[in-house]
Formats: sequence, C-alpha cells, structure tokens
Amino acid sequence: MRCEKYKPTLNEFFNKTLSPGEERELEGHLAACRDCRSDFQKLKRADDLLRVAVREMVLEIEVPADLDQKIKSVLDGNRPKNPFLYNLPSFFRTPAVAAAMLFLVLGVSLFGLYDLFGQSARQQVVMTETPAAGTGSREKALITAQDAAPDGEMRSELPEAETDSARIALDVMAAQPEASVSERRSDPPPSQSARSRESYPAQGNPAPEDRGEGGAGSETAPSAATLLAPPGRGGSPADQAHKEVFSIAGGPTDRKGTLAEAAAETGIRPARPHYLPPGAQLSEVTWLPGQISQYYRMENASFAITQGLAELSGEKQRQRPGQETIIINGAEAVLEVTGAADGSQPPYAALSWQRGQYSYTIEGGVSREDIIKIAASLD
Amino acid sequence: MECRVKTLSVENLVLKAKAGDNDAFAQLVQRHSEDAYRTAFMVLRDRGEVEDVVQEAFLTCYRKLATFRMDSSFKTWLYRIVVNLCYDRLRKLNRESAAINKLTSNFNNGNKDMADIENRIDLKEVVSSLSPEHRLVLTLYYGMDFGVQKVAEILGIPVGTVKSRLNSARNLLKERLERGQNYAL
Repeated sequence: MRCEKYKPTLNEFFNKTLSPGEERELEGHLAACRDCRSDFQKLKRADDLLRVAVREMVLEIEVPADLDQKIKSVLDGNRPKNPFLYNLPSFFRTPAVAAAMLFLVLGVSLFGLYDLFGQSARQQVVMTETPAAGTGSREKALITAQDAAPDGEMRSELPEAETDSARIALDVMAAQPEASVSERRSDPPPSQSARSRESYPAQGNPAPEDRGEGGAGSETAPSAATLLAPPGRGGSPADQAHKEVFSIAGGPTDRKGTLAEAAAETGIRPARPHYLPPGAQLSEVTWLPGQISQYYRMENASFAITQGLAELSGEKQRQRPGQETIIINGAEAVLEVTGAADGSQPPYAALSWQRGQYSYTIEGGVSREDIIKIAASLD
Repeated sequence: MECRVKTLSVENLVLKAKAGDNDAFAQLVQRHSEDAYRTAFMVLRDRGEVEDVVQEAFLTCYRKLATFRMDSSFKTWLYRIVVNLCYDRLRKLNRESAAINKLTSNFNNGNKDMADIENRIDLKEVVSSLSPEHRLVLTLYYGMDFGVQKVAEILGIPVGTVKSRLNSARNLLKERLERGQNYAL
C-alpha cells in the first residue's frame, strides 16, 4: 500500500529532517489521500501542542535580573575560588589587571604542579610590548596602564606589590626589556632585547634562543599581550589574519613548533601514530607544560592527538549515554562517536584513555573505525 | 525578554573573544545566559543549582575559549557544557530518582486506569514528569529551536535517538488526543 511508505515520513516532516523533494512528495500524497491527511493533521496538532507547552514552560521560568552580573563577577575572579585576589590592593581589580590575574590564577590552578611563585618563575618573566601587535582591548589596556613608548620600551608605573603573586603580576605587566635582560646577560644583542621570553609557567631557565621568528622586527617578536592571548597574536600579520590560527587548539601560553621541540620542553616522549586515515598529515604541534597536542589534517577533516601527564589531565570522565568503553592495547578507553551511523553526517569521534604515566585523547572528524586504529597504533 | 540589536555576529564576537577581547566575551554572555539558564532550569528545577551551573558553564567557556575550534557553533558548544554540568549535578543530588518517583502520570502510562484522573491533563505536568534527558530533548527542540542534529550534538547521543524520542512524544500525545483526552495548557 502506498500509504505505508508515507507513514514514517509524517514524523520526519515534524522533525524537519525531510529534504525539500521529500516534502513535496509528501504534500502530493497528502493532497490525494484522506487517511494520511487525517493522520497528518492529528500529528500536527500534537506537534503544535508540544511546542506551545514547552515554550510556555520555558518562558515561565524566571531568570534572575542580575544573572549576567553574577556570571561576570565569576569571570573576574571574585569568587572564593580565587582567594588570593581578595588580598590585593584595589588597583589590581581593574579589568585589564583582573584579566591578567585571571589567566595567572587559571594557570596556577590548571598547572598547579609548577611553582609559579618560585624563584625560577620570577626571573623568567620578561616582557616587551610590541605596539604593532594587534588591537585587542586587553592589549590596549596594558599599553595605557604602562605608557608604552613608540619604540616599544615600557615604563612601569605600578605600585609596589606586597605579595609574591602581585609581584609576578607586576613582572608580567612591567616590560623593561633593557633593564631586565641586562640583569642576566652582560651584553644583550640589540635583536634579542626586542624579544620576549615566554616562560610562564616556567620550567627551569630556558636560555634565550633564536626562535626563528625573524630579527629585531617588533612585529614578529612575541609581545606582553601574547602571554595573555592565544597564539598568533604576536605573530606575523599573515598569522593573525589566518582564521586557521583560531581553529587550532591552544591556550594563552601554548607553544608551537616541532615535535622534537615539544618533547624537549615538556619532557614528554611523544607517541606517534603508525596508522593514519588516508591523506592525513601532521600539520601542527603545540604544547603546554605537561601536554603535547599533534594536529593532523586530511582533505575535509582534521583531528588532534593530545598526550599529557596523567595527573594533569584533570577532566573527570563523565559517563554519558552514547559513550562506550573499549580496550586499547590493554587500557580501558572511553569512546564517543557523533554524526549519524548511516553516514549522512560527517563522522566525529573522541577517544580518551590512560596508559602508564600518560593520558591520551584523540578527537576530531574521524570515523569510529579510524579512531580506534589510530589509537591502537600509537607507539 | 529584552530584544538586543545584533551589531556583531556571534562568530565575530567569538573570534574577538578568542583574541582576548573581554568585552566581546561579555556580549556573548549577555546573548546566551538567559536561555542557558532556562534550559538548565528545565532539568534541575532549583534556582541555586541552576545559577551555579550557568556560572560554571560560562567560566568553562572562558577558560577553554582558546581551544574552541569553531567547527560547531558557539551556542551548541556552550549548551553541551551546560548539559554536562546539569548531568553532573543530577548525579550528585540524585534528583533523577526523586523526579521519577513523584509521577502522577506520564506518557508511558497508557495502561493506567484513567477513570480517576481528570479529563483535562496538564501537558506541562506531563513534560515535567519525564526523565531529564527526555525533557531536555523536548526543551532543546521545541523550546530552544535547535535542529535534531544539534540536539544530538549537545546531548552526546545519536540523531536517531533524538528523533525517536520526539516521535514517541508526538505519537503518544496523538493517541491520547484521539482517545478524547483534552489537554489544558
């Protein structure tokens, strides 16, 4: 019977999952078939009632008038979660400083293993301001707070800090390239004084080295703002314009470079996949202390392999419907696949597990089969 | 609800916020906080819990903004975080069993003797009595106008499951209407 063919499509119509062609076909049948038309009307009434009922329920919910304020105060770090902010003089609560502090605090909470307030950290933080680097409002605030001179030199006019944490913040914001650099080296070459040292949180004392970012050109040297902004901010203008920068995962202090550099700086031995989906190539490596991320690109998709020290991986596993547990080389792993199984939607999968001292996550536009193969092939 | 003129698209705000523009992030908060609150409330039904969840969700967004790869929409990403936090709360508070226990009627209760129940059944009560995940499917689809694909992404379940949940809600309601139940709204 022809009507059998159309019965399932009635609900699909109300799920808005029919193609325009399928809708036209259904309309054609409904025009001709009274039974199906009656069914359709009843289902439509049910759909309308559900919509009205749910929308009314939603609108009846009273949202507190100060909700946005409460959210912003959390973002400003005024909650008990960040107690040390309470001890600071009020200067440090201006938006720019608060933002800088927030990143510091989050850095400490995210990477608590590192002694942020220790000697090594304090020595490392040397900033230069590069006026050419972008127009983010936080940068502007930093510049105005510190009276940047056009040639990139900074004068600090911040008051004496009383606590270690405040002193770190001062160091972060007070860019005195000439003075600070000369503290540690007798003869800083002119090109290097224009460089900043990205070193927060610090891991030992990395010697100043050529990052290959060009000469003393201020537009290529990482700026004060890059410590607080995503990668690419202090990079070349081409980098900044390239939207791909934002599509690459990275936090405020992400380093970018080769896998060898990542291994050297994090002390992690990176696992390389021996299986890759067709056409996949390693396109970028970024790292933070305790974590390396490898980004692979195929023609129409990409995925990332993130490897971290197990204590830092942090995210507790929420057992959600749709997640399954599988075994990867003897380790228990959580797999989640979205995208329709029938292939009508591009695949997306995430797989996380822990083995030995490392935790691993693979996530991106790969199929269930591929993600398992990649994971199993990691050395 | 206030109507705000959209001077910048959400994508632009996200790009600016990722670059460190806190004002842009504040605008993202303004645009999404109300509906995020309402969605969480549909699940948790407790103002204190919902406020905590919404604050924590935006803080998580802020912290992880740099890792947001813009391959899904910001709204979908935010709601996914909100939903996960709601589920965490539910587990902690063990509300799920309490909600199921206080049922007077629900969609699956077709065999119950309806004689003692008034003809006019409050559809909203029925929706309230559903499991949190069922309620969420209806809230996200009918209340927040997400398509079935986005609902599936937000809830971390297959699209087929979303569709079948919507279908069964519609079909059961259709049957009740056919049997002469009147629904008060």
